[in-house]
Amino acid sequence: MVMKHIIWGLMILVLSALLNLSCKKDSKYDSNQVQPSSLLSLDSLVPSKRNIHTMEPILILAYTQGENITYKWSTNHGTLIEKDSSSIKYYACHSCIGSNIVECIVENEHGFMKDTLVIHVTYMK
Amino acid sequence: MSRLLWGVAMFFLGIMTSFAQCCSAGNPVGSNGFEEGLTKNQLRFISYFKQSNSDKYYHKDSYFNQPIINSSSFSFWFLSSSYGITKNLSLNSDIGYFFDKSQELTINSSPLKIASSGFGDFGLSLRYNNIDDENNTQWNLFVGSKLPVGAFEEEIDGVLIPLSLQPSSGAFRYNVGGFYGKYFPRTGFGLSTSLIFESSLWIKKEYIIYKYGNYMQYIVNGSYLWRKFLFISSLKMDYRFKDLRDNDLIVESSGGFALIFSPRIQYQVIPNWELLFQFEQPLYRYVNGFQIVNKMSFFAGVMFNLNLCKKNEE
Repeated sequence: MVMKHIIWGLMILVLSALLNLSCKKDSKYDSNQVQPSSLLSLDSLVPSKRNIHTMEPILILAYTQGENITYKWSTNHGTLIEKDSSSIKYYACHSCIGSNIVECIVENEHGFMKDTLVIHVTYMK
Repeated sequence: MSRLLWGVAMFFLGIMTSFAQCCSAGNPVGSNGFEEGLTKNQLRFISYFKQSNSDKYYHKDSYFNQPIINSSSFSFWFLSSSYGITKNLSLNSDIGYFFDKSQELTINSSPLKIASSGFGDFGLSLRYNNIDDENNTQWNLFVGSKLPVGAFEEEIDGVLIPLSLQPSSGAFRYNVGGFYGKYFPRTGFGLSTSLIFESSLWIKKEYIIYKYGNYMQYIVNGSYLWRKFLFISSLKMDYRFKDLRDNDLIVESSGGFALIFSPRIQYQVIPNWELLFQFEQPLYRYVNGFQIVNKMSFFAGVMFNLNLCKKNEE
């Protein structure tokens, strides 16, 4: 009988812990971007092509100002591969047909800024 | 005695890998492979290590050469616990951890690897069991859910890795299913069948708006019990509908059909403990559009059974 209670207790404990894990905190990049200045600015994101086919790699450059900048890159569909911090390669496989968003966040001790661009992907001919 | 035989013979497996598992986010979909019900106060733990590999890209039912993706693979650890609450109801929970979920690529002649690791999804299900010892039959129905508690924002050097390589699916999923089996004690043979349906909710996370296609799995199993060995052969039919993304756009290169042969061996080492080994080999597949597909997979693990009621009586 004691064993039974222990097992039930453990199951509830594990479930509670897992549910707690699932409550993700909001990203710190959701608001409060700094105004562009010589201390930190993200001037533009420039892709080598905006309209591409599946499995066609392109290069995206981030033009910035400031020192000690770190970069965070993300996309909703497709694959990003870091070339160096301020540039990145992008390609889309066949399940990523459509208009895909690429986001770049730059950050240093003065704050952060972010920008997005859209890459249009169609089937490989 | 017949119940004991049932307890062993009804370890019919489901497949744990869909046709595109090497390129899917989250835990392997479908049945966890153990469809039999538990009786009151029966406790079971299952733990195994699974390896899955793929180096084939498909268009419909044929190979397709593409220039970038060389291979996909994952190494996965799984743990589940089940408990018989009453004579007819049992509760199951499970979780998995990806040691390595990766893809090897070649871009502009440069090889590279994208990899992630972390916890996958957490599964919880309730099963209604009906065990008929006199006729050596059993059927059960279950409802369950998978919660995306694991890692879904894995990144490498500040770069978010693709959705398909994230350990967690990022979506709540619900599943229902049923199982029927019959065992023939005089010969040691058993037959069973099961059906599973799984549906997913939308992922709505920043720019990612996505819904995995509904999934169905039908399994036919044959088993043979010989001394401490249980041999099981399964034929599994997977069908997945197409995914959806933002603006209800249909993802044409998603979903499909697969027919998979899967043998399994179980060996009872000592009372309550069994070793498990399973292999999976696709026989036929048809994918919508272009997709990387699972080539082969296997798992090896252990299973522990305990009847708490009997333990207390002792």
